Amino acid sequence: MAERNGGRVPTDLAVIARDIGSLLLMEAGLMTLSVLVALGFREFHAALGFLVAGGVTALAGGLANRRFADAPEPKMKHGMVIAAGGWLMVAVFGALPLFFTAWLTPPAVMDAFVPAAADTSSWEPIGVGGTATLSSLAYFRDPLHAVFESMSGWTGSGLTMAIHEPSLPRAVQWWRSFIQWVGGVGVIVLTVSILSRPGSGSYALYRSEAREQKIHPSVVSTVRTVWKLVVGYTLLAFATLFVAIRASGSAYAESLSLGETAWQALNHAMTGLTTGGFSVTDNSIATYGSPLVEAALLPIMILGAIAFPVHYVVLRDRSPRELARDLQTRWLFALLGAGVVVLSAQNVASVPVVSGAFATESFLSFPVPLLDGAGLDAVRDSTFQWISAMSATGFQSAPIGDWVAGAKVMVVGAMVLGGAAGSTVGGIKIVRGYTVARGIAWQFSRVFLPKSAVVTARIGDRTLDRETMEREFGEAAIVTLLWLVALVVGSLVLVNVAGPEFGYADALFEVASAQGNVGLSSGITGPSMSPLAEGMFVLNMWIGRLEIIPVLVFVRAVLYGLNP
Amino acid sequence: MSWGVNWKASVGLLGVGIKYLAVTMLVPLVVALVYGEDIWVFLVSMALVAGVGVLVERVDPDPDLGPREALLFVSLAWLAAAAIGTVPYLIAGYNTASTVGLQTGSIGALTESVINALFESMSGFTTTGATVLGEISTDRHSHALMMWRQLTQWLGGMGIIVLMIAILPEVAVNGAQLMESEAPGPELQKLTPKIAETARALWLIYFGFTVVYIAILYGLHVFGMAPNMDLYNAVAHGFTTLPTGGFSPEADSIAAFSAAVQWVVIPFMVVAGVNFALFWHVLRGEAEIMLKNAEFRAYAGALAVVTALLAVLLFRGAAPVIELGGATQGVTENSLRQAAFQIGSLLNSTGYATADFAQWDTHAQILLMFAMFIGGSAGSTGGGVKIVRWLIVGKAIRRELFTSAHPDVVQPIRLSGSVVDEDAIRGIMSFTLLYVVLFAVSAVFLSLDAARIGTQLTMLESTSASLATIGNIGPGFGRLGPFGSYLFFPDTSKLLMIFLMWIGRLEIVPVLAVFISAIDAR
Repeated sequence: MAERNGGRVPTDLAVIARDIGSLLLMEAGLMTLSVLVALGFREFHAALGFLVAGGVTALAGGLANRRFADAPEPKMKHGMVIAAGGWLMVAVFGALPLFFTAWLTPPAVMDAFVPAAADTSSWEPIGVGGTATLSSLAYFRDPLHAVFESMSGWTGSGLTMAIHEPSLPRAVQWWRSFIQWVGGVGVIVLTVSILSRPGSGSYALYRSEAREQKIHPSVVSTVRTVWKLVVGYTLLAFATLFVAIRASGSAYAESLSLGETAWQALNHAMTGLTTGGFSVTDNSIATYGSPLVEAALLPIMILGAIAFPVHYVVLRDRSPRELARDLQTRWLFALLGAGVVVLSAQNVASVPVVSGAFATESFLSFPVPLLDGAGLDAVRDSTFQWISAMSATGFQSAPIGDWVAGAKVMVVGAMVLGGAAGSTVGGIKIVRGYTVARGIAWQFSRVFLPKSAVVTARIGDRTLDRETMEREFGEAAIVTLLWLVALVVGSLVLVNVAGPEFGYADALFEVASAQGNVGLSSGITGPSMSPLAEGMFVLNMWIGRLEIIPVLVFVRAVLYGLNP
Repeated sequence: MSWGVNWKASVGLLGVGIKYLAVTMLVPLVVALVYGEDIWVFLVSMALVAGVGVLVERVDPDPDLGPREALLFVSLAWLAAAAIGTVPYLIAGYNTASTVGLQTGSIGALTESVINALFESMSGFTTTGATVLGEISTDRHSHALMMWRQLTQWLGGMGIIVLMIAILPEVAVNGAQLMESEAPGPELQKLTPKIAETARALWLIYFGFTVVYIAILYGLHVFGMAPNMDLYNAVAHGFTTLPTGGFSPEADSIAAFSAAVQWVVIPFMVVAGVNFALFWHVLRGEAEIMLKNAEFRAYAGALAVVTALLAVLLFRGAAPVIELGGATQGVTENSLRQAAFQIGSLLNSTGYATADFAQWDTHAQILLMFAMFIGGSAGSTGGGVKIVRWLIVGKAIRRELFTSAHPDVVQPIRLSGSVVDEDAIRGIMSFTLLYVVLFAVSAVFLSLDAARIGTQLTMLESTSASLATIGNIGPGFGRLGPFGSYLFFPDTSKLLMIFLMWIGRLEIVPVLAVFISAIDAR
């Protein structure tokens, strides 16, 4: 046995292991909580699976936590490594409930999860131990699929290995939504307290604590505030969705019982608000085929794309004007509006080229000038998908794989940029894009000034001196460059391993979606994809969620340690 | 309106340059005399261009350039050169079937022919090598006109501004500022105290390499190892190898010549991607400066690694057996030669080809695309992002990782032993990002614009068209392959690509700086 904090276990490692251990303990708590859900729905195999997973996670977390209990308080330099390592470990252990449930549930019981009303003629049977089942739960017997699903959940991505979500046990449906919801809170905490350092582009919830050396107090107070906001908004979203689904009047919605409606509204509220994108319906939001449900989801997704510090100020001061005062929120609305218009124009123009991508019958009961049924459907799909992409939610209401390459590439643009830093979106974030653009223009305007000239730059309502501007620009530029490099490399790998029916635009789309934690799919992602690509996506989702740098710091720390 | 810049001074100086550009048309004139071709094309062109030069000069007969005027001058000089370069194309092909000849049949035909000629000329001066010529042969176009096409690349290679500084005293006064704006790469190395001498040294090295190269090519012909490499071809290719140009009067590019010629072309293409200032040190007996240069080492390393990878792919059968290039599967010499040639050509933005790599498999094409992104060295004649920029971006990223964990530590970035200025690092970041964004946005535009006229581009075609023009490379993939043509693009796309070649050659900065300072000044 190595001595504590001395000899073979360096202090830094002890600090990091202790904190990741406590994260795992919390996760074990979440799993135990989910056992109640499984019991409530009388899914005893799933309950056992969650219990075992919780036990294993608690054991691993407890060991690390107890063994290094007297390690010193973590400092800022540990923050990034804890965040990156923590996210990875939480995702790996989060796969256990899926994995254990899949192995502990007998095939006959799995079959019972397939809804009786579902048309299963096109479903692919999955072989399990000599027999076959139609339940997508069986996919999680493959550990890679389970880890993929868990990483997709914890990072709020929404790409899924469960092709037919309704055929999953309720407990697993719940777990997928729940980890997106908790992961969403986690990422807000991450960006507003741990990654928020001078020049990081993201800003602190409480200014005074931004430069604090100890991270625990800052994290704890952030969690307390964010928690209330998220719970409140989720309840609001739940009520809205519940009413929207009941009132939509589509054949599918009519067939739902009151309890089922509530269940779907709850899950979609949780994953929509935290811009995760997991769904409990077979074809995501397209299942409802309802303009009303889509319209109800738009404000929920947009709420999730606004920085939480801004929500906090708006609610605290009861002044919606704060929304307009915030640079990122202003740009978010401008980009959402402009993108909807441009993408709609592209898709309306492409209606004759892509047959079958858009419905032919108008969803409105009255005629609209200039647009026929397909054109209207193109506008409706473009609106929903653009907002879903930019807010990194990933709810899908249209077969994007059938769109023309130009439209796909536009959506890639939205997924790369993302929404406001300090929310649950992915991508490089608006504030970074703005800093980069501003910094480049600023540099050129200085070409003719002497080096000693006093120059300032404005970003939003902050006036930055030369040094701060240079620092912020440098950080934003590096993250953006790394982001693009990872995107290009990833898509080049993917286009080589994906099937011949997918072009480069599809590959680019899929990688941008994974790395931007969006979850829209052009059709490449699924249990039959190549394991290499699947493993790569796990990596893409991980580095995307942490904005790359912390992951690289983590890798560097693993290789060389934390000391200079 | 002042726009914060004394544009008359810049334009006046432009006149001087245009006047001298008329003189260079003596070369095709001589070719026309030798081959007994129509000399009037070039006589008329010379007179026209000289006249324009004299007229423009009178805008400001005694130009006095400040920094803004210098940047404007450099930006305009490349536009003017490209515009002047169209004159022989337009006149020689006047109302014939030539795609670059002036067509007066209709407004549409007129604009299309002018845009085509401008595309070809810009592609020449910026040493891109993308063509809209349609049929490339000396039977179809005169020997003289094809030689003019080659000559534009040679003039553009080392930089027309550097050439002007070297020979025109009135330009040399503001030489340092001018050269800084034109020089490929982030910073200018002054070799001598007087900038005109530096410019002269660079042009002499360039000239020297060209002469030696032509002599070797023609020597091969004389000794019977290169039947097709007659004096005309030797000179023509001499004009487009050292400037990393890529134009060839042969439709089959270098595939028209023997393996011996191909092996000779490779080292000279490699040389063209090296910082020419390093050769100056070598000539002074300081070879170790070259060997210790970080960029040179990275360049050599990149060439070796990518070539080896490609050779393995080719050896294992990445290329279908087609007429040109011969079989590579299981053939060591040809695999090596094809790999070394294509990488030597694309990595530093030359654009020659000895095989139709547009028909290779996806893996090989993606490797080539990767090579195209690297670019030559700063201070070479090559285009692209440039190796030194990638080196510094890489080092800046590594530093960022370190300072993320240790915000209090100050760590300078060093290259070849010396500290790199922080301003330069940020400049490089801006450049690289702008380059990538422009590349991506242009690729989308090209694809949409082609769809507008009913042509569907593949993703590989649209991205390679964008990359090949902004990087001054030339050939792309698909229909834009080394033996393909950019002719089918709509006019608007061609205009965009002309713009891309222009700012790609000037490395974006002068053009943008002029725009932005003009806006600020208002």
